[in-house]
Amino acid sequence: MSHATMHKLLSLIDLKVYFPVKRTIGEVLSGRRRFLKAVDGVSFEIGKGEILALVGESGSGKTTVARTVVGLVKPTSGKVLYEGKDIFSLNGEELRRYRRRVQMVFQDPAVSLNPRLRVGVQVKYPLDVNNIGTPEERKERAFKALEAVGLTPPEEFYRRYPHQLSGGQRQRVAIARALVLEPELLIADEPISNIDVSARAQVLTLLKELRRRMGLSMLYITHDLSSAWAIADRVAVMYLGKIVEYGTVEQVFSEPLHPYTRALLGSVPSITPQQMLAVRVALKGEVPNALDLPPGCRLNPRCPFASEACRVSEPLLVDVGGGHLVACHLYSKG
Amino acid sequence: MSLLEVRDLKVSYTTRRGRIEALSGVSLALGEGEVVGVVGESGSGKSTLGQAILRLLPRYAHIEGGEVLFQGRNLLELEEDEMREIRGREIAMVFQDPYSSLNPVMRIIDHFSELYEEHGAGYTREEAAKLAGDILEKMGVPREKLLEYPHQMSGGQRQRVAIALGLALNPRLLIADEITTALDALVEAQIVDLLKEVRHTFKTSILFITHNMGLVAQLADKVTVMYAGKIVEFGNTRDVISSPLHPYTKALLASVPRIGGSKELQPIPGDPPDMRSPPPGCRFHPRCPLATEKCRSEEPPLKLKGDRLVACHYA
Repeated sequence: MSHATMHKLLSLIDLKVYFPVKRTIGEVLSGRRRFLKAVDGVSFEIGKGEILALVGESGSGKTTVARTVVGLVKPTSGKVLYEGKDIFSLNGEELRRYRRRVQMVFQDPAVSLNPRLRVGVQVKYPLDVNNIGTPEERKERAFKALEAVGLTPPEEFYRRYPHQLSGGQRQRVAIARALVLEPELLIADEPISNIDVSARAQVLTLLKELRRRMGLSMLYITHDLSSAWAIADRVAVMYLGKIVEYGTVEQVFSEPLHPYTRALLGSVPSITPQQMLAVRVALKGEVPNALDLPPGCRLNPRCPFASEACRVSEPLLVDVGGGHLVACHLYSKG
Repeated sequence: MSLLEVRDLKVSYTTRRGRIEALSGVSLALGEGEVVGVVGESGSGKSTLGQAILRLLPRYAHIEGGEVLFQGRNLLELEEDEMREIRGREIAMVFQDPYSSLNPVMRIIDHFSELYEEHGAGYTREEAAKLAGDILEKMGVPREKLLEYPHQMSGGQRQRVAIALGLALNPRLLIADEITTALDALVEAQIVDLLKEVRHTFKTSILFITHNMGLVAQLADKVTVMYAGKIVEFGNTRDVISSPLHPYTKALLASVPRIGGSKELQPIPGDPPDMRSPPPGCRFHPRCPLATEKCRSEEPPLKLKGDRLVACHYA
């Protein structure tokens, strides 16, 4: 491992997550196995206090990446390093410590919160599980977490049930629950896509403020490019299990190179119609079946620029300057 | 004359936790061939409006007053069998989840046959298959898909089929309720393109219900902004977006991040009201930076301002 990755908080190295697919009788008899390659060689790093947006459509593998980072899914190969240590080799106290330092917020607070338990009980729960502090201290910390996400007065919100809150407030409860253990890394999987438009900016602003105040690092997963623009330092664009473009938000959004990124950016329904037509690259058809990936570049059957090379060889993610990485034959010389 | 005119429509829901006023006097006009966007958050009443027009409201809903004039006829006064004639033939509706209009155990062709039969079109099997195939192709779905079941298609294709079904009897008005919300970004853009084509080739008027102002900008000639069961602003899309008059419209537009724009977002403070007890006066006043005593006590009427309608004491 190079020195550069030593002080990175989180590093993914050539992460692959394949899920076995239920076999047909023919496949059982012939001994063949098929795999769904949900994540197929993903590498990236998140530094302290950095926000990386992982952007992609459904089926791109972005949620599987998140679930692997928190240890809910085991990788087929590759590594997830936290401060240089492979998280899948941790056990005992080390593993418990890792789980405290990395917390996750899910898409739908209506699902991730228990409707029958008071908000306070749920926010306090991680402290109970980890046996941290006295009961009074736990309650105090839950109040603090509620305050930190703007649910004031905390005593009032502590007593409420999820159904007595708005969608935006519920998502803030989920964030408070993730914060109560004072984590270093927050994995936020589509935290704003199931809440109201007017609450979205509130949650985004809150997440940015938490980074500023607590130095929190974040893996922000979304299909909404505009929110990635507003919140992230860097962005990785995923398509069918691979990162196709990576760089700072300015690099990727003002100078998108990969045809997929350009198509995605072009599809953002902008308030001013002219803007949309300017960058739009039209892709053919829809995302293919992940069990039946095309050879070569995965985008080639849909890409208007596809050439022979794209149909045979898979493009590598290469640096086109200043840390802006692209996996496309249009930009790889030779 | 407008194709559709909604006048002072009031709808309430009776729930276990009390009475909810979903629409508190909503008026709206939609001209022949026009696309009107209805923008609002959940609870604003935008979906209730769509359902009330076609009288597809759930049983616990009550239409408390108002009129829905379609080509001059008040749909609220029609008999149920007359209404059935209107649905599909005159006004069609497409929903967010295509499964609300597609039956999982029926092939696509059977959906069309059933629709033709119900409206007494009297086509033979071959004619029905030909017509259904034609319209599917116009929606960008290969004719062969007629023999497939909904689950064999992608989400985008299912939504195209739902739109094709909506247009099958060539209705005058299509009500599209959040039809791209469940779709991925690229597919959403394709469906928006499709609707643009539809309005030109079929000359269908569209009531486009959404929470996404960006989509309205792409598609609609006019836009109605709803908040807490009321219309707060109505006007030409371009004007409303470039110079919003109502504080809610302003705040909504400013709170949405734009690529290339400022990264400092301006969230709207607070939350939408509990519709069991909406705030007195202007319903937006608890969240409005400009609110005064008048806003807390007196409800602002929807007033004409140039060629725009605004419900704000200070617009």
